[in-house]
Amino acid sequence: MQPDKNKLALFLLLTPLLVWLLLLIVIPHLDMMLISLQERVAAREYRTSFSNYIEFFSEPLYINTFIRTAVMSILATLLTLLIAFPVSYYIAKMMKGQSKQILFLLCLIPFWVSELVRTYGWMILLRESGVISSLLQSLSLVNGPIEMLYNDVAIMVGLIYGSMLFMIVPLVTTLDSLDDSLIEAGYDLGGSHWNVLREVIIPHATPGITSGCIVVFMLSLGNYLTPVLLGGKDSLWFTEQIYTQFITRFNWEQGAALGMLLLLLSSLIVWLGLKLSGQSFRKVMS
Amino acid sequence: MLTDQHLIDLECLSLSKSFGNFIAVKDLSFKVPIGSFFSILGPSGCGKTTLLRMLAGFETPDSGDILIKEKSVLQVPPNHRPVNMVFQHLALFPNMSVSENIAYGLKRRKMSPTDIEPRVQQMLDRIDLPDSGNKQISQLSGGQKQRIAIARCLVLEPALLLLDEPLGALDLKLREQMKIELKRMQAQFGTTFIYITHDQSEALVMSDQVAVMNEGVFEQIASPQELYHNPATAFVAAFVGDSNKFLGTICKTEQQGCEIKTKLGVIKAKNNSLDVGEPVSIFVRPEAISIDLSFPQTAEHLQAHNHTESKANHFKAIIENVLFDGARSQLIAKHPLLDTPLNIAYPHATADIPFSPGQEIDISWNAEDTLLFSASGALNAA
Repeated sequence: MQPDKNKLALFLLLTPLLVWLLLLIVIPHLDMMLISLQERVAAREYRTSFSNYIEFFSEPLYINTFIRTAVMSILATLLTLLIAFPVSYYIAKMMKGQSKQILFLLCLIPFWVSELVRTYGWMILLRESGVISSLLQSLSLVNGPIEMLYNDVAIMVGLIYGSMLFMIVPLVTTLDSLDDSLIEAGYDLGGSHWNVLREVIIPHATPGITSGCIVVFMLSLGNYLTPVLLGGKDSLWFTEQIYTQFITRFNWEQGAALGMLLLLLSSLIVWLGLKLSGQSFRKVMS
Repeated sequence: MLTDQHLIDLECLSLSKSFGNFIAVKDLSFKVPIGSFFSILGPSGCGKTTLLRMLAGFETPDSGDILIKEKSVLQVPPNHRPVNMVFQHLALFPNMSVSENIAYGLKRRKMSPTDIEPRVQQMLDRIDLPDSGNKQISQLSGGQKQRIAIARCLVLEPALLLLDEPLGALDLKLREQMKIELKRMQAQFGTTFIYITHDQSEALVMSDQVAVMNEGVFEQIASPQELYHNPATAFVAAFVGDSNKFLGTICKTEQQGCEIKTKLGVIKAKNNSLDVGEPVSIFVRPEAISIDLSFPQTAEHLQAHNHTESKANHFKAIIENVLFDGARSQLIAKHPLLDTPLNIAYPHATADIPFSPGQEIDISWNAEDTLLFSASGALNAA
């Protein structure tokens, strides 16, 4: 009787997850794939072809936009890691007890506000009539108002800010589990700060670094709001192209093809990244 | 104490350290001769870990100085001190193989890989694990990990090896084995070991010198034998080894010793440095007490009884329990005037123990086995 009961419990627990995966991930993607393989030959007349995919590879705008988006996302991921690592180390290893929890909570607080509001916050700071511009003018450091929005730096700042938490959480968790005596042993046996970081801390934190990087990269690549609001009309972000196809040009077939390509190419980049750094999904998940 | 300065590996000069209001180490001064096995024994919270971490450089003393090979190391960071530490949970690097763990310190000294390799192999040979170089740490047994952790330090030829209760995590059998192993390794390598522990047996078995630490100060530094037979303070007498404790007041002093009035009756001791009326604590080791059956009085027992008569302290007690534990067997005996039962060693327990609970026995011990300490705090050797 017992095994049957266990099976039932497992089935009941898994059902919501499976329904969720099926309804929100599998079905839409299958539908997207089907749509992307259709080509409009006349009004309400379609035939199956790869023309939408061929369009992506023959139109330099699409490819360039994709490459630009990927490169910017990789850069944003690396910069996020670079900023988040010392912060996480400080929270996990230097702080004890209550102050640790408070610092961790402080990292979380910005995420209680909607992404839209947070992005508007950056706009208030960076725009021509914004806080920074006015401050610089009142300090007579600049003559006229300066525009800091609608450029790549603004996009980058927004992306890093938006994904910081998703890097800090896995890093703090893995660094927290690193035994202090391992770090001390690293120094005790003659290691410099760099040796200890390189030989003891980073190898231990690798699963956290990898999972953080995957999440941040995927979030940046698929981000729509930040590039559009902070980068302006010419931000050339790949998700914008998809949006344009679906909404502006009402070309669902092309939009679906671009969406599928985004999924495939980003998975490919993650896979390449894991291969190049000698990691595997199994290690990251364990 | 040794007068030749060159024979001193470590010297601490009025070392102090406190955390907030808590004083961990209080004005501590001591010397450790070269090549010795020096243990610091104390209950948890006595400051021994803080002392060890100051020697390693992970804590900075509030005042005082640490001299290693006659040079002050206060300004030297942990990674440049000629001191290595075996951590409580060993802290072997799990991402490295056994050889890489041992080579870690040598690599940090910028040695070339061709020089490192033979030294690592030589070290593996010396700890009897010649083929374990390519193993992962997780593949090793507890005892092997222990040896690798020590080898990883000794390969650097440190002036001092600090050991922070490394046997605490092992099971009893392995711990007994490792005690002998550690002593053997210390003798083989000749490195000065500073070993901290709360386990008196570890300290007594392995050490040349033991410092008993309590509330930030050393109560006594002595050889294990000295510590056991001539404890300097009541704390040492109570902490090192088992003992029966009585409280009393000196009632008579004379040339050969004194007499103390206790609940049990008058106890004689060889000590004559205390004055009449002084409150004292008395400790008697379980193995110092001889047992004799009161009944039946056979010829053999009478002979033993006569022998007992010659001992200065002589009481009757009733057996409450017989605890058989091989060579560590004990009798628990009650005296009607005492609140706490007496522990009496009974090392020659055979299958047919002639005692049973409820039986009356004669117990006795010599005046020189009465360890006497002034309860007002002054130090008095027995």
